[in-house]
Amino acid sequence: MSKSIALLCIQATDEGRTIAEAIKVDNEGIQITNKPAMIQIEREGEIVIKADTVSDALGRDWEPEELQLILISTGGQIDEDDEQFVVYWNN
Amino acid sequence: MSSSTSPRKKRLSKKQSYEYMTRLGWDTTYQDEKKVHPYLEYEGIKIHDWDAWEDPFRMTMESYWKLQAEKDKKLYSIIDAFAQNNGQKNITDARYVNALKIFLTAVTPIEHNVVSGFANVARQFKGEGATIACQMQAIDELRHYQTQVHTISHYNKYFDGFHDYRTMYDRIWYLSVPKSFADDGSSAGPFEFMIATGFAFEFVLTSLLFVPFMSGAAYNGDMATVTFGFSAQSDESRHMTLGLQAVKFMLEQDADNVPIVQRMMEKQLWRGYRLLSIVSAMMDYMLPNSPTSWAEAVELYIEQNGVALFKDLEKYGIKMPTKILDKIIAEKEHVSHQLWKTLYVHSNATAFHTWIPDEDKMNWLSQKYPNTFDKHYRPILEEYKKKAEKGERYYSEALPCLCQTCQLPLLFTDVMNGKPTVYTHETTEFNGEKFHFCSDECKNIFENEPKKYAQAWLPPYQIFQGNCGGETIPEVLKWYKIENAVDNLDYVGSPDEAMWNKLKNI
Repeated sequence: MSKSIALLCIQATDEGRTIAEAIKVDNEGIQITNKPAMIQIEREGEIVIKADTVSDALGRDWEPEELQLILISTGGQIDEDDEQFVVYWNN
Repeated sequence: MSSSTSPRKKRLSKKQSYEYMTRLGWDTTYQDEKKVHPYLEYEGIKIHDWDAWEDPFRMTMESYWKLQAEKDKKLYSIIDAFAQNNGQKNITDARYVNALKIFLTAVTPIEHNVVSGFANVARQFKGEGATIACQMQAIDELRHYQTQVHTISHYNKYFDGFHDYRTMYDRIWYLSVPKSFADDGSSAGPFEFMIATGFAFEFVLTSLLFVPFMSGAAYNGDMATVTFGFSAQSDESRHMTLGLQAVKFMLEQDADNVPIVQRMMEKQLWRGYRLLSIVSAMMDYMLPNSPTSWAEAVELYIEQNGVALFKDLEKYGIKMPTKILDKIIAEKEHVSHQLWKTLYVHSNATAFHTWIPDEDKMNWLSQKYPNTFDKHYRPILEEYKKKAEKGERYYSEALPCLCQTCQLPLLFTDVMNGKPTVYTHETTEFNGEKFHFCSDECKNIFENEPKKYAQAWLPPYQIFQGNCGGETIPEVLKWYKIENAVDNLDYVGSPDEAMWNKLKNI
């Protein structure tokens, strides 16, 4: 049986678009859909947002807690530390 | 005398201030603990170790204030710009605002209810982690309430129906649906309030409400709504974390809690879903540009996310609520049409306008609902359209029979048993009185707590008992504070339409 699909929706701002690009780098097979004002990101099992990758993409230091500024919604459980923000299902 | 000579005021270190701010989980010494926390055993939930509740918010307290301030700054700069640029003129069509009238009059008072709900639960729970998390959520909810009131304030300057949302919430028939959901949670014990709000509403259902509808608001040029909506929704990831943590905590503390939590989850999932059915009509019928259909939203947020969540909880002994989920899925192609039909015929007693969708919208509905729209619902709308063209716009003069639990009219049909044209009407007796329900699920909820739901304040019955200003529609409208032929009736011919046409030189 395939794993459940983790979901992350972020605002379609300049920063949001850059972060979505950065998420692609670390999440193979991810699906990104543009909706009005919103970027919908889906991936089987989990979506990992790594602070290092996002910092590189933005050209400045970025902390996972800053995701709150562009976050709309998540479908999954959340695990957050200084290095990364993970949305995942445990099944 | 100068400040440089006086001793520097002693301040707490960060560590100390953090300790003082969060030191709320003390044990009682000179009072019986049961008197201080009287509701901890009320629902039968057994907690052995409150310290096992690790508050996920506590660790991020320092950054919380900074981030929330940043979010609010962004939000108000957009809301201000919207007001200064007369953003209301840039929406797709004034019909759209009627969806907002429902949203803002139904949801804003619920947000306020949840502020006091979480403050209360913070007081009732014993654990430090639980208390802090609930207090912080109460503050978030207050922020949501305020941003929604600011949005009402702007639209109220130009459109009818926003003028007295607080009185309307307490009195109008369709607003008794969200009110009864909120009151049900608030009048339960602290654990059920947590499951109703933190789990069913925040985790399973807010995405269904806020995400596609707000994306739709953006699609229709309403930057004020999309901004408060997304900003509120971004808090939800924390609230979801709290809701889920509360559930897991209850399940881990004692095996006896599992069946109680299962029942509360199923009840609140169903109640929340019934409440949100009105959003289906807002998304499918009231947005001039609809980016997502209700059926598509159910597929993503219930069939995909909801099911995944219950799968994660199976290892704690929770069973997948298959019957409820199957029903939600079966109804996904019907509810928006059934809701719109009901709102259309009763819009002589609402504070918003309705209309027959134009041909483009009908075709969109046919495409999104290939199994149901042309077969069951288009013919009814065409019939209403013909009547309206003859100057006989149909309004019901009768009061609907309401479901004793969810308070929606009995407007749902038996799609589960392949009878989409037969209304579902369940009944039960309690204390020699007969009670009516829209579904098996609502009937079951009543039968589990008949003393609670037998007391429900149902608008049509109160009208007939003489408690709502009189028995005729004009008398009741006056009591609702709705101005006839201004706030209500068809969009065509309304002051909103006249104002909009003038604005757009139509």
